[in-house]
Amino acid sequence: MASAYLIATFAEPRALVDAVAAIRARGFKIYDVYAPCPVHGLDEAMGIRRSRLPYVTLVAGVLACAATVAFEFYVAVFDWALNIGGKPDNSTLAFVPIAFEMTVLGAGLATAAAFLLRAGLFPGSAPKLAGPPVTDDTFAVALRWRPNAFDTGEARNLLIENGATDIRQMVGDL
Amino acid sequence: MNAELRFWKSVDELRRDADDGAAAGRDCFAGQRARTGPPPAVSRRDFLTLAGFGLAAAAAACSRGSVQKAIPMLNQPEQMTPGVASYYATTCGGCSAGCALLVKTRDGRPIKVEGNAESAVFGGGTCASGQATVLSLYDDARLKGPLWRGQPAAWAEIDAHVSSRIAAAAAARKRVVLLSRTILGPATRRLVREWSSRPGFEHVTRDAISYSALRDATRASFGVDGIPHYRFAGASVIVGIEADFLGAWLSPVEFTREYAGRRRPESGALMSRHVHFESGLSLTGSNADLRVPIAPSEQGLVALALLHRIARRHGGFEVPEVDESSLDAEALDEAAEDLWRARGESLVVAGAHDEATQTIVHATNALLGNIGRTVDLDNVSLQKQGDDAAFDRLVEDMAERRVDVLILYGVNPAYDAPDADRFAAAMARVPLTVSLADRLDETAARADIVCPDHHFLEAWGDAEPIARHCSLAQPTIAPLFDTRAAQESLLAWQGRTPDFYEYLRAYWREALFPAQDRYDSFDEFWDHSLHDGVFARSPRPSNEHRFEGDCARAAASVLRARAQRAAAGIGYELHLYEPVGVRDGAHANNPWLQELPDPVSKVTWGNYAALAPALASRLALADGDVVAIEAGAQRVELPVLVQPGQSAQTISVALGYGRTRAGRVADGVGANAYPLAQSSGGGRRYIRTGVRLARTGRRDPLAATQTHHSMEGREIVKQTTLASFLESPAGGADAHADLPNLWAERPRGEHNWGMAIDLTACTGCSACVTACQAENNVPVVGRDEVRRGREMHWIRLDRYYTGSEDAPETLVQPMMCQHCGHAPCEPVCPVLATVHSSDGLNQQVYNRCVGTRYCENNCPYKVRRFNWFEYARNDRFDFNMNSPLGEMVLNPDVTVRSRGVMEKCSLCVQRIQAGKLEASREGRPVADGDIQTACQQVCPAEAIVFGDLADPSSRVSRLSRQQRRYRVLEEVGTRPNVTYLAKVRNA
Amino acid sequence: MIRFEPRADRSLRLQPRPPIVGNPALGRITDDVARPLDARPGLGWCACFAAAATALSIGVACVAYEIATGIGVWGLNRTVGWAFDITNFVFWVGIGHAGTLISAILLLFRQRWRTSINRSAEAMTIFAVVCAALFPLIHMGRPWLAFWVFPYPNSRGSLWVNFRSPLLWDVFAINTYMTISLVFWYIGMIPDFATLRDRASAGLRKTIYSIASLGWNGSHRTWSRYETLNVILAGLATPLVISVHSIVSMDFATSILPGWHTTIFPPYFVAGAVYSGFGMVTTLLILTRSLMHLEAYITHRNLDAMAKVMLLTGSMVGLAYGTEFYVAWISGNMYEQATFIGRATGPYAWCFWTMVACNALAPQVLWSKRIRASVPALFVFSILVNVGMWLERFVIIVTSLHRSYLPSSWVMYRPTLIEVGTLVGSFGLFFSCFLLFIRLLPMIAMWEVKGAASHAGGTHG
Repeated sequence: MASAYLIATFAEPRALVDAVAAIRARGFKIYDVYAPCPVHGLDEAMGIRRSRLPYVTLVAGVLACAATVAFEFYVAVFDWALNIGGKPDNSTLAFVPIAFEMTVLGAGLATAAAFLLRAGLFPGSAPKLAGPPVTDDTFAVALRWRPNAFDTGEARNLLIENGATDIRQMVGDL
Repeated sequence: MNAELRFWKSVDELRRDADDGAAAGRDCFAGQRARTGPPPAVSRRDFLTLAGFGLAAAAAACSRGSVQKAIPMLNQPEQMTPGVASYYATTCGGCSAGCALLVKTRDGRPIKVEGNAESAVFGGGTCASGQATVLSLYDDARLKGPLWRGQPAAWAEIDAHVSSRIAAAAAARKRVVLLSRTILGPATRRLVREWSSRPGFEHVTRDAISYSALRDATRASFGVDGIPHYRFAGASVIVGIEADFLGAWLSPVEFTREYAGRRRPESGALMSRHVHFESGLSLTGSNADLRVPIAPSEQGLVALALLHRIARRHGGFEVPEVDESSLDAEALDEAAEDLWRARGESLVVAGAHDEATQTIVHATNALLGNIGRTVDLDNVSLQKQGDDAAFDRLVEDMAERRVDVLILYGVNPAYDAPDADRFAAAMARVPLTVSLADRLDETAARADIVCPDHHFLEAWGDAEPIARHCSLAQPTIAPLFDTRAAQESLLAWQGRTPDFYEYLRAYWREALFPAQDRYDSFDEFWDHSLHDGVFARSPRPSNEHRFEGDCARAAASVLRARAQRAAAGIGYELHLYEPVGVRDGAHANNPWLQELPDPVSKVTWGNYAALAPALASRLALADGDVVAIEAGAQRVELPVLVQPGQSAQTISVALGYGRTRAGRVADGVGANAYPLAQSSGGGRRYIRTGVRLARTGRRDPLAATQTHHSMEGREIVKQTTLASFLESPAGGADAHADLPNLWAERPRGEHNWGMAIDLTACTGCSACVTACQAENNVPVVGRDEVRRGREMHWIRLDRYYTGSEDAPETLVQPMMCQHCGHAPCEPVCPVLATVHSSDGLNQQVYNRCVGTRYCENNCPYKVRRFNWFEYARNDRFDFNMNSPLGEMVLNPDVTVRSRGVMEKCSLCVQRIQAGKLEASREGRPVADGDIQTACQQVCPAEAIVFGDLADPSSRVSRLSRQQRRYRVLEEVGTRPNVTYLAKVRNA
Repeated sequence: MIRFEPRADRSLRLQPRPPIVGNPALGRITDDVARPLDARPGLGWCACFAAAATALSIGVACVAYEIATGIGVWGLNRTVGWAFDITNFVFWVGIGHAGTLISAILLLFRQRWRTSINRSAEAMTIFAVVCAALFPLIHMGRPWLAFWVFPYPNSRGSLWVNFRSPLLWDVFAINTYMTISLVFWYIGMIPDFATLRDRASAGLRKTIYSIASLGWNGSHRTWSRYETLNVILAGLATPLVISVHSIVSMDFATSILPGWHTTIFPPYFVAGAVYSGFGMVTTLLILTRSLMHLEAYITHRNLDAMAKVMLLTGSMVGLAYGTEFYVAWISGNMYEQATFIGRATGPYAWCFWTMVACNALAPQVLWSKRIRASVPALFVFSILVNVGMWLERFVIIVTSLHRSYLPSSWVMYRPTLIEVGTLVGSFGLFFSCFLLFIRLLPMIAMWEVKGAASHAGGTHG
């Protein structure tokens, strides 16, 4: 559903960060910030929580490892125990490399998948842009307008004071 | 398999078969006696099941199509069941030794020959070329029917023509000559006697490689007509002069068996001692306890020097002093001393083609009192009856147009006569020449008419290689082509009924039946003889043989030859020998023999000029440099082989190669060395002096299966001397305590198959290589692939030299999959294509193999073989597996491997299964010796023993506990199931 | 209709600056990197691609012939079961590792000089691993059954693979490595695809870039997760790359063959892999920076840093060579000793000494700053590295195999033209892929360079 946004563009990531900080200090809610590259310090400025992707990695890795080891044991000890060079059926050490590889594979794929899902990135999804240059050379802050949420004038001035190069309004979906 | 052999059929069954035979009339299987067939326990229903299975197996095993052609199922003999192997006793036609054979047939096809254990002379062993004869049966080059001036013709018209011409010749008092190789069969001998008894008819015998000198010397020295029958079993000291009696001389299987029988160190002092004087390093020389390289021209001298020493000890026998400057006096003294100490149980043999030398050797044996003991003159060997003088006269007469009809039987002078061209020219002057050759060979191609003889596996016959030791030959398959037994041709042309089967029976009825008292009906006698294959008459008692030869004259001629040699001065000496593989060249078109590595040089596919290392380095020649050997007007080009132990100034060259019309396998392989032989003064001689050597600048790399000859100080073949063995039997061989196991031992199965190989007994004759090839459908890969190191043999004989290059000691070691308890090849296979069976076998699963070759890399013994190409039905490899005929030799019990898979020795798992099946059918456990691997079965030296290591009383277990035991590369921790017994030299 | 109404007085006092939208520095980066993708290929590129494609087709022909006829068209024999095939395999896997190292390990170590080269380094990894994976496949006697190495449920009763076999470890290692590298590479390109998408005018390119960019819009909330993801993937790839080459080395180390059976192999192989990989990266970068005129991005600083890495790893490899001989001597194992004496003095000694010269001695010149600064010198050196490291694998494999335990089986190995053609073909495949890559994809990670540029001097979070 379409809504209205106040879009302020910046050329300098440092200005952007200051602006965001200043606006949040005044109790404005930042809808989002758009940038051609990760802007450092912005997480703190926007107050973004630490990502939980690492937990996905951990869980997936442990599962993949366990599954692989279990399979190797099942095959080598229970389902098809053969005399191979006189070695014991349960040649645990020999099972390690494959278990490790599968752990990495499982963890990596799961994490990547989790990221794409969470970020809503998938083939064919139309980009919701705060103006094309944000993927090129422009940084943009977007404030979402809600009735009586804040004094747009003040927000606008704050942004200008903090070096916004351009401010426009946008109606659409971000 | 032995169990099957021992199995006896009930007498009434025999009778029934006899009736069948009668009923079957002209059917070639009439009256055959199979050694096996279904045990009576089996009901007809089981029978059909087996038969059905057999057919399936046969169909599955790539022996397609042409099989039907081989089996006349119209009246199937009782004992032939599809899928069940039958064994027929017969006699080997491979060479003149006439070994007794058992032929394994499957679905009417002979697929494997084995020695006939019932033969007191030959035992169960055979030789490499004997093993290969079964493949010659399926040789594409064989004629499919009679030819008249190169055109196919009908037997009738040929018979009409030939008979009339012979009759006409007889009428006109012209000469009709039958030129044949030595005829071993007494029946055939009588037939030929009858033939040549008529006026104008004549029979001349000629052997590809002449033994005239030995015959003449024997006649002159003892008044005995024949070749002495040498008894190595009785010899505790053997001195050989250029006689390769373990390889190709006279009767190698018999000699090897008796020789190896005396090489059992456990029997202590009884172990024989063997001193050998020779030019090239022969198989026999490589086994000698003391080997002395001599120049070919010194053979007589060595014999004389020996005789001189013996005579001195013996006294009362005058032998002229000889100049021994060029000889190894010390070795001669040693040899003479040993011989003298072992008077009466010693033996001197010489391969010289020179009557004088042989006379001297006879004298020596006589002085040593060996006559009648190790040299049997009462039951002589009937091999090699060729008479060079007669042959020379014949060629003379032919050239003078004094011969009207010439019939050639089993001879090929246009190839193997030293002056082949002269013979060919003379042949052209004979109005009618008829050849009985099985193929359009060098001689047959020049004949007007070719009446192809059967292969011996298709024919009836008999043999008497040693006087009073007879054996029968029966067809094991219906004739594949429109061929006819040579004997029947001869009968037909005499206007008699061409039925050699009846003739044979008649001969045995009249000549041999009375000579025994065991059976009172002839049919019974015949059936049993046929079943056993051999019939030994009681040997003639040994009576006094005085040496009456003229030693003085012999000595004189030796010294004269010596003088001539000195006069000739410059130039090298040439030494021609009969190789172990293709022998005299008659079977050269046999890919198994062509690819059989020479037991000593390990070279396949062709002959070479063997030079001493010193000489080679002086002439800056290396392996594979092509040189031209010029002797008289003859010139032969051959690649060089640098041969340690070769006598300094001598070039050794193998005969039997360089065929031009043998067939597509042999033609153009190697060079024909027969022209280099000299046929002066009656006898053919295979040595020459004043030979020139010229480098051609070309290179022709040898196809050798082994290119590194030193053990690099590694304890791979352990050897010790008899003396040190007797004082400490372990001889260090027992050093390795079992290495600790990193893991718990796995539960063992019912059996633990293993093998023990006695390196002291093994001579390296390589019969096992060919036997394995025949048993396990091992493909032939050809010269180029061998050069690339891709031969496929499952068993090989590693040969190492130790000591000096000039007089090295030779060690051989049969090497095949060691079936390691902790096999390094198994854990590395990603798809589990090679795993361990519960009864100790390292199994290769062809179907599962994807061909990573990791197992090959990780095998410390390098016994795994990879199928680099599709070897069956591939024109790139145009050998027996590429022809519907050649495929008939394939063993239906063994998979033919496809390209891209690994293979290796399976310890003849198919035989193991058969043995287990047999045992379980008879409701008994597998007994020790029930199962024999192909390599064990063929070994005339009985050096290989297979069996169950889980059974402490089995032979293999007992041998594996012997103190000489050791395992190769034990320190690597592979725990092989194959045990070796250290080599002991009586030095 | 919503209007934002500024207060008049303020608006009078405070007017927005004339709109200079965007940051010219960052814009220029986009242009520089994207320009080559729009422009027609230059003559240099076409020439290189033609050469690479030719080499590739030679390889295709050789492999086709080999698979149709049999491994026999190679020079292998009963004693030497591996030679060119596995040499090439190990060589290419090694090449691959530098890519991961640069993109992952240097990321973890916050080495900012990597930003301009990590994309092409990763691409190189992918292509190298493709080349590598090819060889275990075609070296099989029956490659059409290669799928048997995967433990898939089947109707043949109990029929699984052998988890004890290092070759099977390879299968899993290579596949994991391939997959993770691809993911890492693609994830890294999403923002750049977005940039290209927004640059492109409507048309096929735009569509393709739109699909490839998965609707990326530069949202910082995504950026923040994205960086976490990159760090995680880097964290996974780092042990992975080490495990992969360790496992490859175990193909040899776990065998019983003198010259293979040694515990030094895993670290020794990893060092060698990095060495050879950096050699290849250097070769490629020196080529591309001149082909695509990117001297501004692939700077002397990059080359210098890589030269230092090669100096380090090369010396490690040299140390390993020495250690091998020392261990052979101290072990008192006659087979081991024979193998190493054979290496240095046997028929393949020339390979061994060339290898020592290229891998252990040559890097020592890199101590000199002047040489590290000279592009031509580095280029020549990087070629030496590639030659030397290929020979190293050849020496390890062939000299150990051709003379092992039983002298009776000692033979020589001679490669055939087919084998040489296959090696040439693998280079063809590699360079064809790489040349296509620099034409079709942003070969420099724009977003990373921008990040670095826009924070130059700023603190890295």
